[in-house]
Amino acid sequence: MTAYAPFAVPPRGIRAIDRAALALLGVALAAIALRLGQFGNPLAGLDEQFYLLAGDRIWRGDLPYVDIWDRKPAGLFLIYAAIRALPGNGILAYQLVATVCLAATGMVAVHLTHTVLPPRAALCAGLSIVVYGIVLGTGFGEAPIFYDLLTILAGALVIALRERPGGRGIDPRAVAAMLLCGLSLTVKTSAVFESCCFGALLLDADRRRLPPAALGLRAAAYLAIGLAPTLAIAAFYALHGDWQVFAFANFRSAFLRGSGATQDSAGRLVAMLVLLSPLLVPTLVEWRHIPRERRMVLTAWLVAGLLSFVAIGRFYEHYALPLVTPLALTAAYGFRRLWVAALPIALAGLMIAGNLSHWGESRRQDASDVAALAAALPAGVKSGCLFVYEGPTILYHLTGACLSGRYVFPGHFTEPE
Amino acid sequence: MADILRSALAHRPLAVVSVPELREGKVATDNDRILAAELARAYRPVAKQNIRLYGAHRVDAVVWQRR
Repeated sequence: MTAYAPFAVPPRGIRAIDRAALALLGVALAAIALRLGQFGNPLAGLDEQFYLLAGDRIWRGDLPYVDIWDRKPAGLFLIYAAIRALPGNGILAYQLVATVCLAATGMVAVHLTHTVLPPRAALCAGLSIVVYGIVLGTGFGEAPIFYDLLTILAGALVIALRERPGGRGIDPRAVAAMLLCGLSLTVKTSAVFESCCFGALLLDADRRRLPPAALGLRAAAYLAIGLAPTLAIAAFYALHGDWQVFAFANFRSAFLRGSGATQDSAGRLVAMLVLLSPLLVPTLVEWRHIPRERRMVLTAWLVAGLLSFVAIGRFYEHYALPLVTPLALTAAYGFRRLWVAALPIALAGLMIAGNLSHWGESRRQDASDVAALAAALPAGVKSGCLFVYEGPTILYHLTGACLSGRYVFPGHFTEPE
Repeated sequence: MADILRSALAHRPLAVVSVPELREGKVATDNDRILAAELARAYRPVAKQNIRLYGAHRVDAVVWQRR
């Protein structure tokens, strides 16, 4: 049993700093160890194959939505386009960048937690994010892997601002937090819930120092900062005469989609709750022991993460990733107890051991299968075009095939809408 | 979603990749039937490759070439 009382700050000094550094290192190493066996696997992610294709084709002059259609915000494709500036065919590059983002998210969780809890709890919070990033991420570079980093950085700034408030002027930390939220909105629209949550928490902090009129102006400023990245992208499309296409893909099409509520999705929801129980249980037990300011931020963040998860419906595993971040930060208060902390550590250990025992097996098999399938395609697909109705999207990328229209992602044809 | 499938097929792609087998629990959709008709009309199978597609599930992906 730990010696830390619920509201106590752990002892400072060289040893505490060393332990925090070890926790950061542990999280980074765990992220690498959990991914290492799959680096370079062209089939490691399903959606990522499409994102990589879209990012790659941006360099050839194709515009997302106009030439390659999807509902995802353009920022995600721009991330993949930036990744294509790295050496190689992009597969290993996106997987490395995604791993860095996942590790960084875990490390920010360690940093956020170690200031108020023992290093063990900080390590477990960070490990939870990394482990669930693998368990729920299903692939490598799903959108939440990128926007969770932006969100946790914004959350860290909101926590810092509320725990150590500044003056009456607009706080640079608030500006940075809103800008990070704005960027996260260009990666996944459902980040709107976290963005609104953080904006409201910042305004709540301002409310204590500002008269109502100034508070209104401050709200408008936060809104403008948060919307700026999306407005910049929208302005780009409007100036190119593609506003209608952009608006349909980014906004209207989401409302034409079915809820996706099926027996399958209900089953996935139940499985998700079971999977998340190592975080849910300590969260529920320890919630009332969290200091007031932090509890307020984490609770609001949890509600936002939950809304983000539920709003999409369908309950695919990676949709729960935004919920994991606030859950891990809240569950950290339970991780002060050794037996609670043992679970994420054991889970990470088991997963690493499992990876080591099947080292690179599926990567070699998948790479060989995809190479054989690509080799079986007629050589003329570069000019005569390829259409993957059901199969790996990465075939377009690996063969440099021309596309049969702007609907490329096989899920658009084969998944119920 | 049949309209977007028809728009893709209207480009008369040189090659099509599909998974003709109906996996466990999957019911043939309108799109499956539209594609099957088009493949039967204008394409011939040239290769088959067993491949992992969804999670651990392996399927036979078939390459079709325009006749």
